[in-house]
Amino acid sequence: MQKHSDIQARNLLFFGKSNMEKISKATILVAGVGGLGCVVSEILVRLGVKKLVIVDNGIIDEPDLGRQALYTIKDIGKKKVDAAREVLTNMSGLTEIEAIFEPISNLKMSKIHSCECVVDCLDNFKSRFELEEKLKQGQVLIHGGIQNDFGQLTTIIKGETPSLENIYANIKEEETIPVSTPIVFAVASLMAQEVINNILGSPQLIGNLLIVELNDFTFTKIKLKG
Amino acid sequence: MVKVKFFTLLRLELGIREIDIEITGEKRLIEVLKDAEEKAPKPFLHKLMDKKGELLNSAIILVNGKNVHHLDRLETPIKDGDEIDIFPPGGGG
Repeated sequence: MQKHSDIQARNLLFFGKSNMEKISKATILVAGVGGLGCVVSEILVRLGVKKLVIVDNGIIDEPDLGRQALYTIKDIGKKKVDAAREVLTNMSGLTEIEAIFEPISNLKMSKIHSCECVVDCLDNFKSRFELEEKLKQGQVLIHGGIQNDFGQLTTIIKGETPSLENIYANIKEEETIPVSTPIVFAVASLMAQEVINNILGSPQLIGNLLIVELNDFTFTKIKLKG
Repeated sequence: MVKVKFFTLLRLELGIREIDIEITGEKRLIEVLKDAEEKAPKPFLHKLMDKKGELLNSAIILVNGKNVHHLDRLETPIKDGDEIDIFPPGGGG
């Protein structure tokens, strides 16, 4: 196994020892290891979080390979959480990976509550609302969603900020959502940054919705009210 | 002045980011949106409401950061200085 400091030498230069220690003690739950979840998980593992809990009940299919960074053509037919766990475990050897093959509706609240930060990388609003419902008061949820070449993200603090239901009341579920690969990586990278911001005590999107429009590189923050 | 801002698919379709509406006193949201449509390059209200005037559920409308479903929907009162943000959100992951 590589030494911690060797793998993260460049990050250490930027973040500093104290901040890297905070990151190395963090346990994060990533709900959904599709497009967003693969990239968020990879970034957090390369940064050396202590433990990553990944949750998904999906099986890898060909269309996933166009945007889901942890999978290859050899993984078709495998459970996403199994393939992701194998890749993430071997990535640095620094992060414990717990894989849970379950829908969000079956996920135990105690598992969610044991994580200091939850990342919503899900692909439908029903599951997002179920996840939010299971958070404990004051728990941090980083939410992201994408379509075409745009997306949005925010940080929810249960009971303190506007909720997902506040923001997305009555929204219609789309069946098959068109998505460009660059927006997946862009929004997922921003979500991972906000996870780190939260770990380090400086979240930037509490009560703010960041809309990302990649086609003309516009980023807009909207102040939310509950 | 009330700002009506368009994002994502609606912004692309209309080719504009925002429309300013002069307002005196108070108006209902539907009235402000109709005023905005008159100044827009293309009609857009049919993407937000059905023929009966009911809100469709394909786009989010925020008034000062709050979803109008939690206000008075299209009857939400609008006054000078308010901001209306309209966008179909990304639901994928």
